[in-house]
Amino acid sequence: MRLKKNRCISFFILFSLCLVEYAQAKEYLYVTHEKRNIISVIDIKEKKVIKKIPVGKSPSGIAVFPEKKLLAVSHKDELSEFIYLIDSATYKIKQKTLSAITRHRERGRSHIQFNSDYTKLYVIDDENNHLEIFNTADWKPVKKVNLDLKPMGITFSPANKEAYIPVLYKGMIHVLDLESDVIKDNIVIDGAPADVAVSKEGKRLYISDIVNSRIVIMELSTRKILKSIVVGNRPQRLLLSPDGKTLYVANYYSNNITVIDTQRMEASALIPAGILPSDIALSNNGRWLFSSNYDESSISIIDTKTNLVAEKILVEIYPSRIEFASF
Amino acid sequence: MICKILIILFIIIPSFSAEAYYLYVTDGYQNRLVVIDPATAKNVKEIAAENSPFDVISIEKDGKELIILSHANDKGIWIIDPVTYKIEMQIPLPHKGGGPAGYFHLAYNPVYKKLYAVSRALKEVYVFDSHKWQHIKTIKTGDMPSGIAVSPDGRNVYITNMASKNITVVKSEDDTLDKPISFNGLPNAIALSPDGKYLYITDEENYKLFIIDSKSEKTIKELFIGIAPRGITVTPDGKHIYVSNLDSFSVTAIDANSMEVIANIPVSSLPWGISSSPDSKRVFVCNYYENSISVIDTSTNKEIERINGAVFPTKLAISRGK
Repeated sequence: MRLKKNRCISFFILFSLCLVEYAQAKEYLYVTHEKRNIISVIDIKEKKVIKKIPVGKSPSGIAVFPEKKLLAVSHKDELSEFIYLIDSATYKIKQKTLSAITRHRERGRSHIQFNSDYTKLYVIDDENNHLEIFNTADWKPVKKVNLDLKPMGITFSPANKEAYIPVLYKGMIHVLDLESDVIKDNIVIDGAPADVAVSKEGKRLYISDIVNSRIVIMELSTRKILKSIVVGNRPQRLLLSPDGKTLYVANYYSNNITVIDTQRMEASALIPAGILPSDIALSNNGRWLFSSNYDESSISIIDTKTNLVAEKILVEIYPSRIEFASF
Repeated sequence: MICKILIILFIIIPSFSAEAYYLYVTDGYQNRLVVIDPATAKNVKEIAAENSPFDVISIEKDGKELIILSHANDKGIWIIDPVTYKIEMQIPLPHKGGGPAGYFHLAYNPVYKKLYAVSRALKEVYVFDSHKWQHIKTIKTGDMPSGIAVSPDGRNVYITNMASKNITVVKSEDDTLDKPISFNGLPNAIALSPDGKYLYITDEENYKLFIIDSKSEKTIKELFIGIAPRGITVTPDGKHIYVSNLDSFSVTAIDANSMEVIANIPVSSLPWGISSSPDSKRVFVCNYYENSISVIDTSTNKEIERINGAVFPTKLAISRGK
């Protein structure tokens, strides 16, 4: 009798667990493979690649529009339609946005990013040195902004007032006013900035400087350097945890990730992530960190509580950019 | 008159500071010890070694420099004259049993004139009297002894035991054991400050450099460096500490005074053995997988040159060749 009751209970628990499972959003990673012309879709729970989406020629940039369940991908085809919008459920290309600028796209990359309220898509061309802005209502180009030599990406301030564009060869950061979409200022640093992160309150800028292997922490209002932290070889990508307390730095040529405590402004851990970590992503709650390891054909799943690599997922050769999404 | 003296001094000083020195690099692929002149970046001499040369140090005994070479197997320890490049002595290894002793790390105590050779596999240190290079004692270490250093006053010999997570302390006067120092990590490479105040030890567990007070044996500072920190050198002026990070392809520069990391210097594939020049102006590091030696300028903390000459270089020693 008791046994039966126990069974009943365990069945109920299992059943309710299933329900919870069903209601929960599924979590995915999207990985670009420039040399294979595909995007790998990873189901994080299953820890495996569930789909390989063919995308034009050498997909380089990737951004997710969660509300519309869309994936925006840039690639290097010579056409003007170099951004594809992919349905995250069917993996079909829904739309190809038409750029106002025609060009040869054999070289260089396009870094793409949605603004905070997803009204615009910002596309940075690191070879032709410009920014093109698309309206997400109709996916039409609305503006072109000329940039300086080798812009590396774009980071939006939390208040959605400014955006920061690191310019590698000029040792400066363009400050873009988001109301007018005009460059209103430049922040000059002694080095080569590759990536920028903004603190949660928008008061500080974290800049990775690849020639001096360091992270510069700058107070935005005064432009004063608060601290310069030595990290590894070519700190290419930066990511701030959702609570703003931890900064992750992917050191591309050192095969590791430096973890920085942003309050103490000191390194708090070093993670041997994988060979050539080209990009990093965080799960929504910041619980897991992912790195795409370019020369290892793998994605590392890092436990942010222990700062240890928990697992590695094998993927197609040369994974570069990585994005997290839950639908 | 004063002017004259100054002029003479100016002529003498540069000629003194520009004193030549040579790099003795182990070439594990072609089984030889390569002598490189860093001024010309050319090989001066190639000395045939036995199978797998491993560690190399330069010492000064009775006013004369000597090169000491160990092998990764049982081929003994060699004493080499850096002027004639002759092998003066081949010291047989005293260990018993058939198993290979492997990977001998070397250290010399100039005060008591003794040579210490640690066998990683057998967990033993062999002590040799440098008078006739005779084996005088065998001391047990902890598990996986990985690094060895002698205090500048000659009193202590420190051996890092990676698996036991502690440091064996040998009193060099009579070669008896002192209480081991416990270590919060996996201790590997070890060096001391020239004044003997601090122990610098790398940690393979959390990729840190520990700065430990040698008297109180307390940790004063822990600094994040790189993955697999394998080599360490302190410049003779005591101002800088350099650590080679094998898996991070980098060298970390630490200011010994402020005890802060001041630079990350990207080098090449698998940087391992590392040594400072006698004038503290240069640091040389073996890039094991690129068959090269990176030259670091200690005033700018930048790599200024890469020298080829040895294949699969592991360690290097610097000698004035006198």
